[in-house]
Amino acid sequence: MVQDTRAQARPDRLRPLNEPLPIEVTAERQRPVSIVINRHTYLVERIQDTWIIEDEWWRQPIKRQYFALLLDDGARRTIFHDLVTGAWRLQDY
Amino acid sequence: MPIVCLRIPCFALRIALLEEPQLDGHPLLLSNPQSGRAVVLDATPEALGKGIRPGMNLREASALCPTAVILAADPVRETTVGARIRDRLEEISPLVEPDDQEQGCWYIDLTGLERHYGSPENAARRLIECADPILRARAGIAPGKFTARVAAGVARAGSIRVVSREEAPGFLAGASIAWLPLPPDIIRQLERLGIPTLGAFTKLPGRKVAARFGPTGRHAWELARGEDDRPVIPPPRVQSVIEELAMPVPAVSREMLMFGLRQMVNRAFAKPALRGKHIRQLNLHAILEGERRSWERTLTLKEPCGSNRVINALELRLQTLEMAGPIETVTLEFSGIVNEIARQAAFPMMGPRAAAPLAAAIHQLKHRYGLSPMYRVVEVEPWSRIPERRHALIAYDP
Repeated sequence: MVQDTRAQARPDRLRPLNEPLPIEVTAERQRPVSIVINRHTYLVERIQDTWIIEDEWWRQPIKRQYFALLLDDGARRTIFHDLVTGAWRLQDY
Repeated sequence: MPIVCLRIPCFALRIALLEEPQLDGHPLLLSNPQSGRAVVLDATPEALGKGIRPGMNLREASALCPTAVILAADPVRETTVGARIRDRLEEISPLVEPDDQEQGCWYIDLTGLERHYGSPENAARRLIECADPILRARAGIAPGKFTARVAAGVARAGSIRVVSREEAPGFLAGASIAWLPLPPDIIRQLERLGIPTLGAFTKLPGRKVAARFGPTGRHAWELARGEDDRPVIPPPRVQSVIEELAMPVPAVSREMLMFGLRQMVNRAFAKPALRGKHIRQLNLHAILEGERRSWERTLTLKEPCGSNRVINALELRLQTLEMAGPIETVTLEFSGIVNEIARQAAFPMMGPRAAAPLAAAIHQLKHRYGLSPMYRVVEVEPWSRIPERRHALIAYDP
């Protein structure tokens, strides 16, 4: 038996990394056409990849469609469309 | 001005005829003889007339038609010929969109070109001329992309079928259900349900179709009714750098191939278009010696890479490569070109030797602010598919 250390559990000291950030997206037929980052609008040059994740249906269902985008300035960004709430978020995968 | 659909049925097989025109009119089969279970992937109308069907075992097909000529796919040539035809079509109209389901099928919007070409039929005739006559291209003209594709499907080789907006519902009603952009198993289901034509499909209530087959089914139902307002959207031109190498001696080993590839990568990154840049994707095309065979691989890199890391990625990928034959010519296409990226180095004072001064510094900061302002990245669920669950920051308190 492991002895109780009586140490207080501090889950508040854990800060998740890479949390999704709200983002403004213009989409056509559910596919992003332009995105706004820091008040600057970038056109989507190419959708390099797209995939769907569905998880945690047993508690708070998560259903997201990710898009790996190549923007008109050459940068690569990953965004997702939350298929539960309909919101768009910026998040590296 | 309506939309024109230019279609070359059995595209992969027709491409073979460019090199061997004497085979025209023979029953031709496209197959994958290298794979374990060789099946018919496509067949010309001459072969279909003998009872051969795609998906049939190659041995069975040969028994049905002993004179059938079996050809292997040549993806490099298909891409090259497809790109050449698209370039020619773009000389007539800037709005050219390849069909994403079928190879050898393009949609062309002729809006604003009336004064150049007069009637849409004249324009369509010019479009058919963009493809070699042996490819047997045909065109369909209609107000929407789907109707134009079905019209091109019923047109004879070299001819044009025009379907006006008023004629569209009646014309589509008689067409086969197989034209719908639905997965083959759903098409089979519909046929088993006694719905062989688009007309029979449109008689079903739209909401019931949506309930049974989802949004894709609903969209197909609208297409079958001639409701298609999808515009022709040309895919963006991808900036790429192409490097080609004709092997002095056909490469028979992986080492030989890698030697050539290494030279090509270094040469490409020395070009002005790639100097100081990184790439995200690499297409490798190889033409095999003697027979009209080729293969291609696409390598998508996890992050933008320079020449050294591209070479490493190629070496890694080629380790599992089965050489299908001696390679005569190799082409590398570098795309997804971005500016060079830098990698952040480790924080110098985080090294093990600096542990004591770091601990002292954190102790002082804790006294001043009441908590440690330094954090450490810890793995939480590194296997998680949800990115924010993989890592977390925890107070660094040595």
